[in-house]
Amino acid sequence: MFKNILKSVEGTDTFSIIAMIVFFLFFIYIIYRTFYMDKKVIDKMSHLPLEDDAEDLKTNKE
Amino acid sequence: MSVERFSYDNQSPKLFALATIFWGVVAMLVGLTIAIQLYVPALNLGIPYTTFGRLRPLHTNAAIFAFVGNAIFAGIYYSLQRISKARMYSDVLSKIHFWGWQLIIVAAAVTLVSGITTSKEYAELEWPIDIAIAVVWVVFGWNMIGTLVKRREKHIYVAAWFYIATFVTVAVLHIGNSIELPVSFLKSYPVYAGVQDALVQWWYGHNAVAFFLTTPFLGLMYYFLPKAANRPIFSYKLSIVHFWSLIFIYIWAGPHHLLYTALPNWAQSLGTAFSIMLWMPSWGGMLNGLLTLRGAWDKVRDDPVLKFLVVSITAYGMATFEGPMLALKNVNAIAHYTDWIPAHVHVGTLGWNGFMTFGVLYWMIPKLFKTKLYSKKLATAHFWIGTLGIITWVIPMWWSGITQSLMWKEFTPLGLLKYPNFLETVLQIIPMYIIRSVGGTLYFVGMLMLTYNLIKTMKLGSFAKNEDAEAPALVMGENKLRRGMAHRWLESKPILFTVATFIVISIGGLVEIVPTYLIKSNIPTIASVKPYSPLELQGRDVYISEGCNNCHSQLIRPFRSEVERYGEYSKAGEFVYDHPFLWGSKRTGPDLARIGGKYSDMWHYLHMQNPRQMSPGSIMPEYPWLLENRLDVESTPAKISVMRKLGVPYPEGYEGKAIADLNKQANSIADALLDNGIIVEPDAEIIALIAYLQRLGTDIKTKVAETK
Repeated sequence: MFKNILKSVEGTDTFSIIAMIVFFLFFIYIIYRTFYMDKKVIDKMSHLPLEDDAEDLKTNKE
Repeated sequence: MSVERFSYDNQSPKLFALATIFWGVVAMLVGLTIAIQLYVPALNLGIPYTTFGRLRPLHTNAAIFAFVGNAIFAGIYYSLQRISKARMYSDVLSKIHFWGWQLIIVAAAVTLVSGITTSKEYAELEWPIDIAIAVVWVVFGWNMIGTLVKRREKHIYVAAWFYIATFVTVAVLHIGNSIELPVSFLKSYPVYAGVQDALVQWWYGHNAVAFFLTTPFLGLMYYFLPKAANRPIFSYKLSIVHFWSLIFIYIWAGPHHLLYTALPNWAQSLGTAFSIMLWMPSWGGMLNGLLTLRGAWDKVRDDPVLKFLVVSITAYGMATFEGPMLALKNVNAIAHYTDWIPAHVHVGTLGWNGFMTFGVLYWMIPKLFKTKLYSKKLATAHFWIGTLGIITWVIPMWWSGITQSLMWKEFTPLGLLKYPNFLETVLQIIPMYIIRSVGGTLYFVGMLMLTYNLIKTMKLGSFAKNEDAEAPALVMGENKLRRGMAHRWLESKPILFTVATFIVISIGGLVEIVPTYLIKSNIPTIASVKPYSPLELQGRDVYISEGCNNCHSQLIRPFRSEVERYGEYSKAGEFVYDHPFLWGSKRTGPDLARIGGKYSDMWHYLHMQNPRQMSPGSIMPEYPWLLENRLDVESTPAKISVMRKLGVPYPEGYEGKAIADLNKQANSIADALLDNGIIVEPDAEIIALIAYLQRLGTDIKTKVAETK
């Protein structure tokens, strides 16, 4: 049934091309944003998994 | 800022870790069994439950969903709490998730060996189990996103993004590929047929590899590698770029599993193009992992955990280079249907998933039990025997794949096939099968060493269900959208992030699948292709139940060598009534797309009784029970009715006549066999199977006869 609904939509063949362009632009945007990310944030983020070790030491006194 | 006291749930990661070990042993033992069955057919034991066709799906499902699945959950339940600085959202949900998942695995094992299967690779489970999977999966997602919502850490670490992508995409894939119409409690037919079914199946199959075997493990890598090496990941920026490009591209690449098939050409090219692009983000991830260890390689020398992680990441790099290569049409022409594909897959599962799991277990179990690993030496020995196992598994299979493929394609100077008998090409690679099973044995022995080592470790340590921790409460509101901070804003909102991921993966899937619905010319219909007779339909279900599609393809590619060997190449229009499609993906035995009319009914009867009666040296299992088992004739009207609902043009009210037609056709086959001195009841399963096999591929032959 949803086949018939889709059939009535015009221009479905250009759908894939538009989707591709949107994808590409969004991707470029993310790369741009990532490139200009704050260095301090990056540093903080990348140390996140290591932090809880300190927590461990604090909380699990053996 | 107030400091909050809370506790981590250590019980869930422990339970999942134990399940990982248990199912790992089971999955590898079944794998080893089927590997040996390929050169010792007697090991099929002559009973239905232990034949290759039923054990192979059991092996793949156990390895993927039981072993790797539980490993994913163990790793996620451990790491997510710690990067979020919060306990799992709900202990009840955690329990439902754990026990629900184990129940599903048991149900899968029981149904698969009983011959209850949909035949779709890695999605063989029948509809009630499919629904259970969806429910438990949602419980998992709910628990995970709930944890992220109530987290105390402002930022969401990159590992969690991979977990979210895993949850969202697997949900979409599983539901999309499992849309089926039930015939009875444990039997259903998929709504898609033929080419569409194949496309949906491999959109699922490929992305199951991507989002069940890859993204969750990348998440684990981003947490456990820095932990084990005690240093941050090489480049956090790279991890962001790598994440988005991976989920963008992966979802489009599915059609590379169907190159040279009856799938429309544009879809094949799309799959190839995206597969090649996929190489880059994959290697981005691999390099990010390996470069994390720069300047710390001395640690790798004496830490077995790091050894496992390094080989795991290297195996990921190898498999993701091999993958795009195999997606090139000219390479695929050689590799498809051969042992090269299991070789490629096992670099991934044994190397990437297996070794990552081992590394995580060796690291996590001592932490959970507040002790040291029982024996570092034993773990190092496991590493070496496991590595040797992988090499001894993979190399012979590369070799056998290429050897067999070249033999299939070789012509004599006179233009005839040099090896017209398929069996010759099988006998040639038997030594490779033997070596492969040695590799599997080594890997399995390593698994047993891990089991022993970790049980000893658990006995040494003391386990507490809850681990106390404290962290400052998260003050929301200071996290407003600022210039250049768009991604941070997005990543601080788990639900929004989930939705964004959903949109990204949906578009790729829709672009692949929707057009085959829309454009009629994609699947040219052939007038002479008619629905299966009731007996043939029942025979087809016997074929599915016995898992014949695990070793026999039903798709002849448009190559001279294949047309010469099997007959006219397969057309998309021939499969329009095939719910499900049965193209298969591996030719351990010959293609059956045009087997109809090639041999007599008596040949098939004797061949199923014992294949070696007709083809000495054959490695096919015996199917003596098919000669005795009675067909469930009464199920016929329900099957016809469901098929008509799915668009197969059986006339209205045909249900009433179907059984009579079935009996008529069955009697004529039984009578013909009697003329040859074979006494068989007309309602034996073998009669239906013979009817189906004799029908295969004959629709087009009929047309040729008519035009003459």
